Amino acid sequence: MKSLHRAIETIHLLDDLAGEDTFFTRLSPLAKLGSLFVFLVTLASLGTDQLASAFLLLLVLPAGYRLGRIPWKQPLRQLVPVLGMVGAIGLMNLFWFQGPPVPLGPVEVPGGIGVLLLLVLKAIGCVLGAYLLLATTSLEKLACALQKLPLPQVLIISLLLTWRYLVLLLQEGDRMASAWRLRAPENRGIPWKISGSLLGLLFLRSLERAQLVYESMKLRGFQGRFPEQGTIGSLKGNLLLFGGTLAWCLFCRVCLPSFIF
Amino acid sequence: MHMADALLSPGVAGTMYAVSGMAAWYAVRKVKEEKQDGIIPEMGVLGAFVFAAQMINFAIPGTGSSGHLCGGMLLSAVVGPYAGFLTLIGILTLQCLVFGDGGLLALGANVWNMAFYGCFVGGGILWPLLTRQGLTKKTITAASVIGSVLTLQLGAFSVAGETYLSGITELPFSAFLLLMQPIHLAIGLGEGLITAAVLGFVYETRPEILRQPAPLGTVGQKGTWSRKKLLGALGALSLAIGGGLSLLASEDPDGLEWSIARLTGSPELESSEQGIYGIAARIQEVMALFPDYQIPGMEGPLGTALSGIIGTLLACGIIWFLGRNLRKTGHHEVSAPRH
Repeated sequence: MKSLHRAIETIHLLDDLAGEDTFFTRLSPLAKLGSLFVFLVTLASLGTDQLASAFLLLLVLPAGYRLGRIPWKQPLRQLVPVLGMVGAIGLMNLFWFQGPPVPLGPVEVPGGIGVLLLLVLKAIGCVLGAYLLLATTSLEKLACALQKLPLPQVLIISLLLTWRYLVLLLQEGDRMASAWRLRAPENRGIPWKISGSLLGLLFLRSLERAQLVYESMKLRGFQGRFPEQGTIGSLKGNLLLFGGTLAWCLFCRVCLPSFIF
Repeated sequence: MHMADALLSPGVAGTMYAVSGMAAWYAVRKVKEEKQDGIIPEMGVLGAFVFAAQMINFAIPGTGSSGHLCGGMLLSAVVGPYAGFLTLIGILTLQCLVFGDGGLLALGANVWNMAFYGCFVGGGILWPLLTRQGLTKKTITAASVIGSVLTLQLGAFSVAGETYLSGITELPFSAFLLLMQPIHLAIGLGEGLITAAVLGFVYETRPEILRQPAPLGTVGQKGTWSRKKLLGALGALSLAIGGGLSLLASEDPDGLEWSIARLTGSPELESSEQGIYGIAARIQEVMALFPDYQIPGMEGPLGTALSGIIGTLLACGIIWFLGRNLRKTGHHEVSAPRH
């Protein structure tokens, strides 16, 4: 069950990164979320005739990773399965694409390759962009910031509680999977027949824990809202981030094509 | 089945955010109405459980593949479809933000493809329908397997549709469907079996945790529609579609005709007049009451509308007749509801 180990590692790493004191971690979570949305929408709106714009748009990511002092290893690892799926669909376009060649800066590439390249670039941008947000903002801060938006409280609280209990249950699942491996080392995977009792037990334990949690929350005065603890950061920094991202995206989306062609 | 941002256009992603948002708004309203004490922490911890449980893959016998728990059905069976839907939104948000599984822009689409079908269709319609005779191991297994297979098929169909509508890849819709549907049939079966195994274990150890189906005969209380009212509304809707909206139907060829036209240049394949094909064609000529959705001698909009209405009534009659007979034959096998 390598995935369980990896998930626990990822969560701890993200928590550590978000706890560091960098330019990015000091900014408002909402400014970061807004910037990420602008970046993602711009990237998603690019067509095959704007490959050069897509390349250039992604250059903002290394700058962000540098400012946030974020190591590349973990996000690149997350990118592999996404690239696998998107790449497979992109490869099929090599056979199906009937359109004309598409421009890639000063040169032209066959349309099928253009679609493949665009899908890969979009996948890279989306995965690395989302990782940048979480590596510089803890989910608790993000959820507290989301409370300021007109979003249903029940959704934010359940998201926050899921996050808080995730590591605990991942560890419990990992313990159970390890116990199974030790009991039956010759078996390659967990057989379906025992899935009911294995997961059922984890489920019942989780449910009992949920009841205890709720009782203790009520005893501590929980009234359906968590206290706000998100950092707001300096206004200048937030404006710089949001305005800079917006300007860069506009340049790549609107101005760059007319510069090149 | 998590969709990546790269496969969606901003228009489709925005539309999916809007429809999933509406479903979420409705679910929030229903959760507030239900006023279940302690539901929110339960949702949080169960969300973490489903997240962790989905990482434990089980070997599916005879297929060489593995599967994991189907979250929508399990959550709906325990906390109900609305709270289950909101919990799955939380899980999908974390999966996309923390593990890069599905994108932030594609979150609306992923919520629709996985949470909406899993909870609203699987947990909201199929679970109460298939367990209405009472919870037994058989009904739980049937509901879990049928629910998982069907909701996954719907989800896979939506993925293909959303990708096609986004227009980012040139992969034909039919080819993408052919790739998506069969593989998700196998996955749905595996996930359904695992979900059935877990729910079966819970049923044996703590049956009170599972959502009991509404006792027979309680339908029609305040806030719910009686069976007659529901059937009447559905009947009126069917007649309106068959008789009215059918007039607005597009004249363009349907998906299959379009595909054939692309391959052969004509929307219909030339069939042989001889042998079994010829016999079948002649039988169809004689049997067809309304060829090309027209009443012979009354061609035009009125004929189309009338053929739609008569066709709807005929279909209802046949289904009613079959259902009545099936109920008679199956009546002796139904176990008494469990209390």
